[in-house]
Amino acid sequence: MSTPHTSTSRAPGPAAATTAARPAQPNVVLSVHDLNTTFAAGSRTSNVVRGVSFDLRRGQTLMLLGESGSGKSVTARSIMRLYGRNATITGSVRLSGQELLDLSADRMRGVRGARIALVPQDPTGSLDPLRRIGAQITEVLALHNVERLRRAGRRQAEELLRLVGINDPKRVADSYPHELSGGMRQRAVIAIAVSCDPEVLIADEPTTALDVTVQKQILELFADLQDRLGMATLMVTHDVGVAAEAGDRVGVMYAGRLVEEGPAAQVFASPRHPYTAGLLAALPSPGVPRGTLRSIPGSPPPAGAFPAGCAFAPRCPVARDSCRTDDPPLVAVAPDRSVACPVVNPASPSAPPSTPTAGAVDIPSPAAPPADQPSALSKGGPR
Amino acid sequence: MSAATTRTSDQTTAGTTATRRTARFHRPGWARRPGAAAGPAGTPVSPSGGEKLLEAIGLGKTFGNGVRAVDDVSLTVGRGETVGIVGESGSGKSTTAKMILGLLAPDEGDVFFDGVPLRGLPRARMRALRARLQVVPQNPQTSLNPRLTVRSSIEFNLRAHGAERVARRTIVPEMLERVGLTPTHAERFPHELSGGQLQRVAIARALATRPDLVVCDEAVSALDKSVQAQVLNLLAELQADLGVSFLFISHDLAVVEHIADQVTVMYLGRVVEQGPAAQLWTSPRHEYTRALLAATPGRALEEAAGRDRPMIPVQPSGADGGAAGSGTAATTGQAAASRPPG
Repeated sequence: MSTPHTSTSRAPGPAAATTAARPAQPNVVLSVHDLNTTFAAGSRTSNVVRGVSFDLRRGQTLMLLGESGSGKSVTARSIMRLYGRNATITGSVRLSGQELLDLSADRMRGVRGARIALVPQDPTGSLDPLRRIGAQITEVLALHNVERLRRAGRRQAEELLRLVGINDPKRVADSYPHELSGGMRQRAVIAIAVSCDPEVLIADEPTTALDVTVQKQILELFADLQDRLGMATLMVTHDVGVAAEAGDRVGVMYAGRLVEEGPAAQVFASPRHPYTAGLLAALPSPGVPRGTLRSIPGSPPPAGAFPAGCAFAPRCPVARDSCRTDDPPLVAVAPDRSVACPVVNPASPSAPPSTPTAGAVDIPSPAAPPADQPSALSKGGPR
Repeated sequence: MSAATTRTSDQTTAGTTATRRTARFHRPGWARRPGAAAGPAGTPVSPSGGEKLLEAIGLGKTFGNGVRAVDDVSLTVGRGETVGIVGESGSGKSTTAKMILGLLAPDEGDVFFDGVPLRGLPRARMRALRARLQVVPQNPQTSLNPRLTVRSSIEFNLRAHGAERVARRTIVPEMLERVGLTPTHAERFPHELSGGQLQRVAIARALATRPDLVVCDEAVSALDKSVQAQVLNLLAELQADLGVSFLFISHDLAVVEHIADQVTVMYLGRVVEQGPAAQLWTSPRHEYTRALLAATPGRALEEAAGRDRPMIPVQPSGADGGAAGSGTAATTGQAAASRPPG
């Protein structure tokens, strides 16, 4: 099976300028540039990921935050080239400098699981119900280290289970998935994912199927593993709270595009893009009287059926006429922060020069104080 | 159950309400509902001071496999009030809801709806009562028949409760407008609507029979956050306009705190804390409630936004105080709760 792809064959899209403007960062393990994913169904095609670019550094967690159909999961899975022939992935995905989109299917198989690993959403669905946990871990080890003996593999499996916070690894290694709780299963899946010491861990909604108290433990486990193993994590979530809690950086996705990217603390303290600001304002929080939540009118467009221009324009309180025709590029607005909105970002070429200086978006929002401010937010938050 | 006998006075609530109801539902052909026995009595009040609509006393349920799903759960919903039930999976909140809806017979305890005990209620009367006791399920994708138009789905419910054709024809567009859709949505099929629109249809369907109480079982959990706010606002508006009561079940503490007057926190089938929503949020008394609040993501978010929520002192309980990857927590697969609450 080979995924059709062409690397950097497109004319540089709007997002290209951004990455070019950004100096090469040290310790960048994963560099995604102008990623586009298009699915074909018969004669119809739908472009689900549109020009996504970001860098992920060693020891860093980037949260891809978005609602259903925003393309966040497809972005994550496109990086691992997990789609079949019906998907066309273009752009560039560099893992420690190596272009992944150019690799043969065989060589890509050697990268997956070894250098980039995936933690899927549903641990129950991703474990084989008929095999013991230990065997499922050693399978991965054997796949990537053929010379390793079976017994050594078993020992290593137990070590891995201990690493992910399991006290009695012997019992768990001998258990079938159904004998474990949801949190334990997710730990086992994480053990499999980190078994080959990957450079990048991709976690697709890893805590969505879990209760909040278990979710907290799993998020802590991710932070702990990152500290110990030094890998970079790309985590996909729809939960703003999770993104704020567990992310160093956050990339907000809407309709297949990255609309805002920056340090999590800054983005949540002073969101720039009207969508980010609206999303934060829509969250129920103490002190907001019942019935007065500031909702965003309308609903997110379904994947692939995105309106022309800025896809958020139909729901946007500050949209101008030009927003309905011109798709705004993601532009750096501060060191380390970029936003795809010409209205809040006068530096953008498509904005008239007379625009007053943009602070926060003009949405009355409790979540949007006027300017960046020092924030107590640190990774993981107070515990 | 001795509880049942002590509460017989509750069965006589209907006097004034019956009048109000007939006025509200007066429509040609509208099925007359059997009200509770007439006669004003002592005025039973809910914890928040309102008139009692639903009362569950000492509910218990043990399933065939020996699982004690619900143990001694009591709660009261006042008229026009929203009561939230919060809990994690396996806490018994949905089982409680089923018993309140009369879909599952409790092993112990009783449910009184407007003073009428559901236990032993003849089928016909239970069916009639269901018009006043509706449900909005979690996932509208599965709760709406994909082969029925929106109109048919809503009419189906109306027909089941005896509304005649003329009434049905007027009620459907009226309800659609009520929930923020247009009458043109009536001819659409579920696959043509977004998740938020579908949940509005499910709400319209539930409200079509003019219920007194709607049980919302994770009714906004499947929605995108930007749409969830619209639906929460809609529920608040409907309550203000129609005086309907909600029993709102959710695992999302922030949502429940926002929408509910009273909150019941459940853990492993038991009620661990009950009280006004605001109080629960600012000064939770039970260790489990505190752990739940502490685990709810987004506190960092609010700090980032500089909101002043009172800091909640977190007791190290079970896994909570442990370091990341603490093994005790892992083995139980539960957080705060290596010991039963109580």
